[in-house]
Order: sequence, then C-alpha cells, then structure tokens
Amino acid sequence: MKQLFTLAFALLVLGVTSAFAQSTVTGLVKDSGTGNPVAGVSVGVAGASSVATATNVNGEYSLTISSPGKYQLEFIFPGYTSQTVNIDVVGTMTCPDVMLAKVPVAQADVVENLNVNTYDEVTISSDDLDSESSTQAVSGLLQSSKDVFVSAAAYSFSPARFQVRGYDSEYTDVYMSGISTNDLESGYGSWSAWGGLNDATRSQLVTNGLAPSNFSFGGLGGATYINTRPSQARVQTKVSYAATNRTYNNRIMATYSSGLMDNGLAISLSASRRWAEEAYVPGTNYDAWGLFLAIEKKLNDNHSISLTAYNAPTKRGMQGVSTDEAKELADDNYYNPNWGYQNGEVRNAKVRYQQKPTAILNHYWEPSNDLKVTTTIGYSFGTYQTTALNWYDAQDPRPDYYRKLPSYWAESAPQSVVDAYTEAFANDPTYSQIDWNSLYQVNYNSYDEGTGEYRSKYMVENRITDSRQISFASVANWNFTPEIKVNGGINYSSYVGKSYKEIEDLLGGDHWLDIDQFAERDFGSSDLVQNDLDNPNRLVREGDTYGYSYDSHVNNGGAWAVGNYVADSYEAYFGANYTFTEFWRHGNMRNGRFPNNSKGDSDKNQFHDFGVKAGATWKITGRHYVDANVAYMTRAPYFRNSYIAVRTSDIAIDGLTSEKIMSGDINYNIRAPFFKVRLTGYYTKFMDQQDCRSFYDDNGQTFVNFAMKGIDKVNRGIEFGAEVKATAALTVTAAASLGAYQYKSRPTATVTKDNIGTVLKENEVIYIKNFYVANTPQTAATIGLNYAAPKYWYFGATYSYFDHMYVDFAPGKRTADVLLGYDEGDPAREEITKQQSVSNAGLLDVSVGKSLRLAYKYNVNINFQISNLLDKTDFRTGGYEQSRYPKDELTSGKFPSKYFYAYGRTFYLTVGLRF
Amino acid sequence: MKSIKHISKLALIMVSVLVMAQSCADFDFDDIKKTSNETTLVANTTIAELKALYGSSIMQLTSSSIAGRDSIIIEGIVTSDDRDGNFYKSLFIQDATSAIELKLSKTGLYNDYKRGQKVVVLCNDAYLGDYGGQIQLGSIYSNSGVWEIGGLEGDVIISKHVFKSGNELNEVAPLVMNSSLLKVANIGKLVVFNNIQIADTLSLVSHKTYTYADAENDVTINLGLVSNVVSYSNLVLRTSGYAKFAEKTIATGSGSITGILTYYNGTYQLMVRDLDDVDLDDTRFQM
Repeated sequence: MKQLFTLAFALLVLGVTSAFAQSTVTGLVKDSGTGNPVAGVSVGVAGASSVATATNVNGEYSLTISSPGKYQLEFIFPGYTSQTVNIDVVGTMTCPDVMLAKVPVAQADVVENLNVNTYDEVTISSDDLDSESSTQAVSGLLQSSKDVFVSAAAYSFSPARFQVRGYDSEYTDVYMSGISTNDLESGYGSWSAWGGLNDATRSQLVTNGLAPSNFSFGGLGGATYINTRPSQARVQTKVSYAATNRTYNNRIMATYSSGLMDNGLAISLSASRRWAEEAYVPGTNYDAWGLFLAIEKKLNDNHSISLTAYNAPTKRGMQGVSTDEAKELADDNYYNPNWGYQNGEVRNAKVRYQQKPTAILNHYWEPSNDLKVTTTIGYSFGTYQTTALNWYDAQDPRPDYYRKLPSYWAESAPQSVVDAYTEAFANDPTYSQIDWNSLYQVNYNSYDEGTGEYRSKYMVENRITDSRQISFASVANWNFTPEIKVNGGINYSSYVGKSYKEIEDLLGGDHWLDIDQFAERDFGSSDLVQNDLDNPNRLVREGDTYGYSYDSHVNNGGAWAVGNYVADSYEAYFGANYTFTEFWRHGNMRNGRFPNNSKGDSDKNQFHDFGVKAGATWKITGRHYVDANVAYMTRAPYFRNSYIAVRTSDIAIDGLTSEKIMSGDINYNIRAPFFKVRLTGYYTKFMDQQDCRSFYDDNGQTFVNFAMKGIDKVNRGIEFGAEVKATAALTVTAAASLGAYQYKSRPTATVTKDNIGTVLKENEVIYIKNFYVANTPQTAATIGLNYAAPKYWYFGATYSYFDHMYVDFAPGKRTADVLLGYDEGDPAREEITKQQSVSNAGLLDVSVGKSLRLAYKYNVNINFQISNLLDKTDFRTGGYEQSRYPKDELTSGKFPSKYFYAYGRTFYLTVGLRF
Repeated sequence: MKSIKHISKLALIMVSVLVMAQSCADFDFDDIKKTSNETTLVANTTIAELKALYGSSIMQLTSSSIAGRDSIIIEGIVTSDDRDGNFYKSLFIQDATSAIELKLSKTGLYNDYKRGQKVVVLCNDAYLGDYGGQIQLGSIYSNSGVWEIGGLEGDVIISKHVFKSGNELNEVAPLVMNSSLLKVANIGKLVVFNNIQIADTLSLVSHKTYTYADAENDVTINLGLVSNVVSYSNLVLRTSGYAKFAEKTIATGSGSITGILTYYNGTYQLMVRDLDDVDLDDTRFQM
C-alpha cells in the first residue's frame, strides 16, 4: 500500500516537473457510409485520459499534445466502430480525415439489448422491513466502454449481480446532461428513471475508478455522463420491436434525431413501451412507458441552449424471495410468493410504481477554443410506490410463512399431516400462493358493531415516497496553457421527499383502524398504540394516508476542480472537492410512541466533506503505459441510514459521522492495433460506515431497529481485461476480476424497540471482522468470441464463471449474547456464526445477428440472443439470512437463508429498422 | 420540413404500434364476492353420541368407530370467541345434546368462525382425547415422543374436517346454571351463572384488587366464584394471562357471568369470551 502511494507520488512529481513544447492536432471525422461529418465523437490519446476532446457539429476536432512523438489517437462514438490512428506529431498539424464505420447493425444491437437488461433490472429498494429486495438486481453501472475490462465484463457479469470492485451503486456518480441523478436520500443510482429510453440516452461518457473526468470530481467507482444534447446525437429515425422472456415480453421503441438543422435547431424524440402479462418469474407483470424530448437552439457561435425532458413511468408486479423449502415444494427456483388468484386472474400483492419526470435546461457557452462553460438547471418530481399486504390480528397471509410449510409440522405432527402439506403446496395454488379469496371472506366476516361497518383485517397498503428536487450545476473546462487543463465546477441541490403509507385496497372491507398492532399487543389500548396521536383511533379508508408520514429534507452544495498536466512521456493530475450536506426530518404525524420526537422539524445534521485525488501516467512507449491513482475522500451519511426509526421518530443515530474512504489503483496497459490489455491492482479502505435495519426479533418478541456504526471494509483485488483480434473477423475478449471485499472492523450496534424506542442493547459488539461483502461475486471471469461473418452475419459466444459469492449475514447472530450458553469448542458456535457462501457457477451466452439494407435506404437488423443457454436454474447469486433468530432455534434451520437465483435460459429477439 | 416529415412518420408508427399494444399487464381487479357457506355434508351423529365413544385415552375416529356409519359427522353452533385472547386455538361448538371443544392449530379463529356460526365437522381420521377430564376433538402431536391430543394442524388439515354451514349467525342461549346442572354432561356449553360474585377480591400479597389475570407475566388465574342462592363447590372464573382484559381490575359487585363451562380435574372453570360476559353491577352480597 505504502509503495503504491510512493510510486504515485513519484509519478506525480515527475509529471509536474517536465515541460515541453506542445503541438496541436486538428482534423475531421466523417461517416464512412454517407461522408457526413459526425458530431460528438470522443477523440483522445491512448493512455492519456486527460488529453481528450469531442468533435463539434461540423465533425471537427482540435487536440493539444504537449510534445512531439508517436501517438495513437482514438475515435469513439456509440454506434460506430472505434478507430485508432497512429500519428507522428511534429508541431501543429492536420490529421487525415477519419472515416468512422457504423457498427454492423446487428452487433450494435447486441450491445443495445444487453444494455436494456442492465437498465431494466436495476432495483432500488430499501423500504422493505425484511430487506427483501428484488432478486434480479444488477448493477446498472456496467456500461459499454472503451475500457477492455469493462466492455468485456459489462454484459457477461450482470446476471451474477457483479459490482465493479465490489462497490455499491452510490459510489458511482451518474450525470444526466449535467445533473447528478443519484438519489439524495439514499445515494442509489436511478437508472430506471429513464428506462426504455435506451436510444436517447446511449451517448455516454464513462470514467472508471478514480480516473479524472472533465464533468465531475467523480465518485470512488467513477462517473458516467449521459449526453442528451440533440446537436450531438446521431441523425436517425429508428423503430424497433423486441420480444423476450425476461422482465418483460415486448418492447417497442421509436427514436428520431434531427441533428443540427439549418435553422440552428436540433431535436431528439424518443418513445417506448415495454410490457408483459407474465414475465420470466411467475406472477410478475410489467407495464412501462418512456418519453423523451430534447431540443437545442444554437444562438450563435458561442452560445447554445438545450432543454431535455423525459419520463419513464413503470409499474410492475415484483418477485419475492422465498426459502429453498418453498421452492422445492413448488418445484421452481423462481417460485414467487407474492401472487395469488383473484377471480381466476393472477394478482400480485407487491406492485411497484415509479416515475420521475425530469426537465433539464443547459446553457453551453464557448467563449473561446480554450474555455467551455456548461451551466445546468434541473427539476424533477417523482414517486416511488410499493404495495404490500398488511393484516391485523389475523393469520399471516403469506403462503411461504414458516408455519404453512411441511417442515414446521414435521417436528411434532403425524407424517400424514406433513404429506398433506407437501401435497397441498405442490398442487393447490390456494396454499402455494396468496389465497385472495380467504382474505376477502375474512373481511366480509368482520362486521364491527361500534361503527356499523366492516373493519378490514387484511388489506393492501401502498408505501410511497414522493420527491422533488431542484439542481443547479456549472462546469468549466479550461485549457489554461497547452500543458495545463483545469476542469472545475460548482453545484447545489435541494431535495424534499415525502414518505407515507396509503390505503390501497381494503379487500371488501370499509375501513382500517390506524393503530399499531405490535404496540397494542405490548401496551394494550393507550396513547402508545396511536400512529396519529392528534387523530386517535382514526378510521382510514382507501386513499387515506395512515401509519406514518414524514418529509426528508436534504440540501447539498459544493465545488470541485481537477488540474491536469500533460508532458512528453508523463501526465499527472490533482483534484479536490468540497461538499456541504445538511438534512433533517420533518414529521407530519405525531406518533403515540414518540409524542415529542415525531412531529415537526428535527435537528439539522450538517456535514462538511472533502476529497482529494491525484494520479499520473507514465507512457513507457506509445503502446505501453502505466498509470496510478490515489484518493482520500469523506462522504456524509445518507438520510436513509441516519435515523433509528425514521418512519416514526426523528431520533438520529448517536454519533453520526462522515464515512472516510482511502483508495488507490495502479494499471498497466497495452494498446497495440490487434491487442489490448489492462491489468490493474486496487486497494480501497472504507471507514466509519453505518447501517440501519429493522426486523422482527423473536427474542424480544417485537420489532427492533438495529443501528450499526463503525463499519470498516477493505476492497482489494486485481482486474484483467484483454481483447485480441485473432483475424479480421474474429475477436477474442477476456476479463477477470479477482477481488477480496471484506469487513475489517467489529462494528457496534444499538438495538432499540421500534415500538417505543427503549434501548435494548447499546454498543453491542458485532463479530464480523473478515466477513466477506455479500451478494456480488468476488471472483468473476469471462471469455468471449465474436465472429463477424460475411454478408453482415454476426455470431457471438461467451462463457462466464463466478465464484466466492456470499450470503448477507444477520449481524445480530454474531454477538456474544447469542452465543451465551454455547461452550467454547461447541460445534454449534461455528454453525451459528460462520458466514454462508453459495456455490460457484458458469453461464454460457450465445447470439446471432444479421443486418441488411433495403432500397438503399433502410437498415434492417435482426438479432437473437440466448442467455444462459444451458438453462442453469440453480445458480444462486447470493441471498440473505433471515433476521429472525429465536435463541432456541439458532441451529434448527426453522428460519433458513433465502437465496437469489439468476434467470435460467432466456432469449431476446430484436427487429430494428433505421433510416 | 424534412424533420416534420420524419416526425409525422414516426408518430404514425408509434400510434399504430400502441394500438397493437393495448392488451397488456393488468393491475386492476374486481372485488371477490362474499361466498355463501355451503357444505354437502349432513350430520349423522350428535355431539353426545360422539363424546360417548371416548373412554379414557386418545382414540382415532374411523369409518368403523360407530357400527353402521361409514362416517362420523357432527354439527354445532360456535359459542366461543378468541378475539380477546381468553381462548387460544380452541373452538367450542354445541348442539341440542351436548358441546365439545374443537382443538384447531390456528389463531384468530374468530375471523373465520363467529359466535352463532353453524359448523359441520367430519370427524373421520380426527382424534378424541381429554385434558383433565374435558373431552376434546382434534389431532395428535408428539410431545417428546409421546402422542398427545392437539389441534388440527392449520388450514390444510382444518379444511378437510371443519366446514361452515350457512351465513346466518344464530347465537345459542346460555344455559342458566344451578347446582344440579354443574355436571360433566354440561362441560363445554355456553352457560350463565346468576346471583354470583367473585369470592375474594383483594390480593393479600399486593393489597390491591385482583386483576382478571397476571398480564405482566402472562399467567392464567383462577378466581373462586360464589353464589348467595346456590351452593357451588369447585367453581372458578378462569382467565388467561394473554387475554386482552387480563390486566383489568375485576368487577367486585354481584350479578351474572356468562361463559363457556370448562373443566379440569374436578374443577369447573367458567371462561368468559370478553368483559361483556361479566355483568356484576349489583351490590356485593355478604356470605
């Protein structure tokens, strides 16, 4: 570690101390098919990330290179085959015109299709008490990229929930036309906000890891800039239809981009619809729309303004995670406990609805060739809703509740009973799925004499977060001297989220009584049971807010700057940022358990955070170079993790503090015309993370909040990527990520009763040092063959391998308290506390495509892709231990872990028409 | 102009495709209607007949338990109510001849079986047993290897034996008790004791008036009952520590109490369903 820093520092110093005369290379980029100039093409020097520019609307570029010598220029634009040009730079010179060839359409759409999947399946879930998020969550951050590792890994690793370097999505910043789109309450990336708008958001600038970018300071995991500027969009009209059996069955998409027209206007439009009556997982339906509009006006040579607006409302029935017992009984690893028949139709109890209409106004100002200033204002308002069953003093309606499974009865009941349960679960959807009929009948049987109405015992509630956010950002890219470039910016965002529950469906009843049943069981009828103390014993009806309601206010602002120095055979940069964050909770309901801590404004939590990063590149030859990056940054805790029971009270975790991150990487790159390799070693240490979760605790027989702090982690490992052009038609790609992501501290937990806030345990030590970070493969490798056959046929095959995948652990089981009564050396201790892992697995994907041209005008492409060709349906990508661990059941297996399973064999067929 | 042409073309395509896409994911559902409780099973055995089959140890009912009947089907009206938690996984039903406790391994039974609901019970394959002399109909469970009488095991098994019959609720009139009626034949029936009061009202330990049960420690309490008209021996008011009213201070007056007459080893235990069953508003009488 120390050596790494020393090396980086040495490189930095070397870079800064060398200075040479510089050269300017200019040139023009055209479409090889039409001869028209191509705008927005990234132009860069291989291995020198800071020497980069983009072509203007006339396809022209100008690049400043610090010293003469042999260089490789890279030209990259989505939809076109990237090109590398070797040049010998001697003073100011003009490069021959570069003719970019459109990617064979079939191949382009393979990329598109794979992107579709990553987009659609990003899940942002934190509102489920039992941490039951979607099982098919994958990182949306794996994008097509010029990087050999990322481009090889992007598609093949997604099914295994692979996270680059083990980082969560909150460590990668995603910018939509200048505005950061990471959720301010949780940090999550929000790719679903533009789901289905793939064509309109295809132009992306991706920086990986700590490498500097010219649009932001960058997160630990890098930054992505989605360029929606219509003057830089590819001129096209495109219509496509896709059939698949993944998260949806059908997709139609249409996109039009005008390019910059003679009147100085440029327009992009896109619309899409994706839907399924029942997708891959039983009981999951899907209905999504996407609408996108961008319009740009070039005011004069120096000023342009553009407006981008989009929305992607999505409604879908969710997949639930169940135990292996239920899956075996149903003979289906994709068994979904969330649905049941209602009047013969499949009804899913857990329906997610989300949308985030967004408008972004950009002002592009180029006062000179050496200065660009982009100023952006964005406004979005969204909603994120998830329905769920709720019930009062009635049997748990979930079909896989442990008392409804044969194993529960096996202990004490006659074998005939166990057989009857096994039989019923296998064959009778009344038992294996939600029995909606019985829920209605119970409600119809629940006449309440006091009110003369039917009081629902079962109902569907909707947990809602409505948000609105206004953002401002300004970024300047300044070529101070030909050697020194400075990128910097300021930004400010103000966010308000309103979280509450609403009655969605009373299932035949007339009202619901707004009290807390856990509190009622503990305290009987008193003020303590009231969810809304100012309106006690309120009868709530469909559409009414109940349970809890609070606003989350988050403001943040900051400034950043990165200076790049470019010398002959060295390059170096140094950057710093500062961020101010404040957040507070405003309660809209006075909760009976927390009469003085639930309504009105809480104290403000304020944080000052900073980051510094530096790096250098040593160009050994034009084709070999080594670069290294180091960073130290602090980050304010997120609102979501800062309160012990945020729904009902504003009591913050004691000792809230910013997380500290120290990171470094070193990379060796080869970029030969037919051979590209990157080998990277990285090391990242996270300190002072916190985590807050809620669950039902059998030992205390109550809901508890489990707030951990002082979590340290180390993520370290090696990344390898290679691309070899074996012949003109055959390309071999390979990528491997060998990581070790581990907890490196013993955090302390404060456990409180959700009911009343009573502290059950304070600073309880959680023994998880050296546990592994769960739910991402720590080892992943892939090898792929791409064959571009004559007559625009395209074939591809990829094999991927995943290993070292761990199951998320219940921290409460790793305490001295739980082990009380087990003697040292008792094998039960190991059984209770050891971390579970899941088996390694391999997946094979294949694809075939064909493109053709009709009437010299229409490009038609057909692409067919099969993922997991061998239909491996037992691939567990991770899972979690149930948080229930009654002391007498620690080793009984009554509350087993729940596992996520990757999809079995799926297909994706696209037919596209472009003109 | 060119762009307008393009846009109109695009719009045309979109509209046509969207029309195609009309049938799709459905998120709206009609309410399920109230079902009428019907069963084709007809009772062929009275509860008294059923109880008479029982000796002194657990027995399984089969098609040959009663000669000439391939099945044993009883019917009865529900009299118990577990809403307030004094009854637990237990349903008392009563016909003209007798009453019996149905043991069901399910909580919240009042959501399914309201007081006054007529139920038909197919007894084949079920078990008869007793607890302290009170006969119970249910299943068996293994208590550390020893089979004991237990509840019918959840919905899957209950649905094979217990059927609701009719949607009308016709509550049973409680049997007005006197000393001669306090007998084994009336165990399990809904009864009412008039001219009665709780014998001792003051805890000699805490020097406070008794509560119905010990809610804090979830402990069941038996409180002696006395009448100034009839001489009852071994009669108590029994309340579970899990009852919602367990923590309530007892009524110290006199009057009447309605409840299910249960029995344990010689003691008759009156169990109320909720505090509406306790009507002790008159002044306390002196013994």
